[in-house]
Amino acid sequence: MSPELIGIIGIVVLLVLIFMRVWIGFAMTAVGLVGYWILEGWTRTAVMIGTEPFSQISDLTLATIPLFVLMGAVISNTNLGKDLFETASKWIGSIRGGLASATVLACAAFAAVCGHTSATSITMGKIALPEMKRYKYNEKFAAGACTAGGTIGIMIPPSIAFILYGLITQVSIGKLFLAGFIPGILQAVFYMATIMIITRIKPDWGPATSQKFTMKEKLGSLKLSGPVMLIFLIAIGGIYLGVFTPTEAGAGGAFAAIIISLIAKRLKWPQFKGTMLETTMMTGMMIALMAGAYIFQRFITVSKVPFLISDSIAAMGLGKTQFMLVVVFFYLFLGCFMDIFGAIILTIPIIMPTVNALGINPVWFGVIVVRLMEIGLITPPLGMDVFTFSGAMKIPTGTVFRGIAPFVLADFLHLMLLLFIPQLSLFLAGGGM
Amino acid sequence: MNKFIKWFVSIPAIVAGSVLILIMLLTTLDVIMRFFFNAPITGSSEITQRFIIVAGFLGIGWCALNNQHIKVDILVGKLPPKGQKVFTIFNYLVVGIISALIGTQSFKQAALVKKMHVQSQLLGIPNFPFYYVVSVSYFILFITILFLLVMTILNKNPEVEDHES
Repeated sequence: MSPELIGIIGIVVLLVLIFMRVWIGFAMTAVGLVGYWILEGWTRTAVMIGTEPFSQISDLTLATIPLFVLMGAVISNTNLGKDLFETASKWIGSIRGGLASATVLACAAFAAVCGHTSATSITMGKIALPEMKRYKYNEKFAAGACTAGGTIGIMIPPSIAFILYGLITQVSIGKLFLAGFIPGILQAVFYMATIMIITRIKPDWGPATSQKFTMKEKLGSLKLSGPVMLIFLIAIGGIYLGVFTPTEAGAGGAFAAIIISLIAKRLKWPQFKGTMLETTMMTGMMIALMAGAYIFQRFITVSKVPFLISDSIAAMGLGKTQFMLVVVFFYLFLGCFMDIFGAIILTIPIIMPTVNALGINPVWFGVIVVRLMEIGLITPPLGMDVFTFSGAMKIPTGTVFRGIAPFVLADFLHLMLLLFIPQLSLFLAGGGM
Repeated sequence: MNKFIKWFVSIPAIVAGSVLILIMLLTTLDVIMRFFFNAPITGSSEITQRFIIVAGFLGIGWCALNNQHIKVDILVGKLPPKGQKVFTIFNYLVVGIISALIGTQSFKQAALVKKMHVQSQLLGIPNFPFYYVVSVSYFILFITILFLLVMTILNKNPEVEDHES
């Protein structure tokens, strides 16, 4: 049996294990281990599984993940997300559909310090949904705004998805962060435009509120959300100017979040303990996934499957455009049922040689993949974030799906823009196609 | 037993969290020293590279106990509880075998690395304790999985019951 065939069988077995609900990181480890054993023998495999977890995880860049997770967990557990929503609602909440737009803005701001989709939508949903209900907003429209807003979480830096992509492809994480910034802001603008159009057609879905705020009150609302946004600006500005590495930005951001929470008297021992355990849990999940991915990658490399795929695509005469079309459908489909982290770790090592062979900019490709996965997370019938949000908020799934439909349409328009104008992603990252 | 396993797994998780706080403080201090005093902390990256092993791996058991490892539920989630139980047990068997294997091999590797005096270049930090951390972490995971497996067989795994209902 040729190594390529063993590699393909390995991928099929991996998919079977994943659909049998085996934890993805361990399914990858199991297949990687057995496949490597068949191809390279037990002695090498034993050394590989003994050394790989240490040698691959003891990576300075990998520390970026838990540090940004810690920053997000501090902000989430100390209720600073509520301040972000209150600030946004004081500034734009009184206009028609304003609370929904404020939710999207707060999601974008929260995303800037959190980096996780369902965490963003649920945090904001818990805060914004009761408010929107109070002002007689249409339930499906309100739920749609919260769930769609949550997806901005993995586009606006710091994004855990970009960190994982960067670690696997060896593309600069700083560049990926910068590349996600304009698309993330544009995404929020697209959602707010959608809200404006919807409330123009159906004014009773998001009525204007009678509450008016003075400039003093508006500025006063920046007391806590201002510093939170400042953390983001310093961290990302520092990366852009080359003052910090992403790891340093993560450490500084987490440190600043703790200090702000302490000054605001929001971080007591129970919150701190909860934050630590939550961060450890998320880190443990990521590390198991990464360790599995590296072992699987070793097997896939010796099987030469990525090169087989790359050669086959070259033989088929697929150009960049056709390849990207396949990528669009593939990741939209994958995003419907698989977590973005799992999908990136599973597919990128296999697909990357082809991306490089076709001369596609890996930074731009990363942005497109993350964007596609975001859309997949809220696309019917299987959008994972919709189920998570509906379960957490006790709103029927069908209601959320109906509410999210116009936002998905906006997502596709936004995706087209990113596909046809790569400079939107590459301008800040300083690269060309 | 429930209380014991929670304690057994949460202690390493708290150690992992504390080490992460240390990484945060060290990195922030390094940036401040470099930026304001042009005097970065020597070998801070070497320390972080090793500490991330502790902060990362010691939490995998805690993550397992809380049923937080990433999985795809699309097919098995549609099965009746008894069918789901079979797949849950199968998952635990796969994870259990993998964790025992990596735990054992990392332990052997740690002994080898100790014998060979492998250490970091700048500060001379020995590598073997961190191989042991990897090994211990996977053994903690193994024990957690063993516990979850027994509880699932006895229909007493609350995480699984919640999930499957």
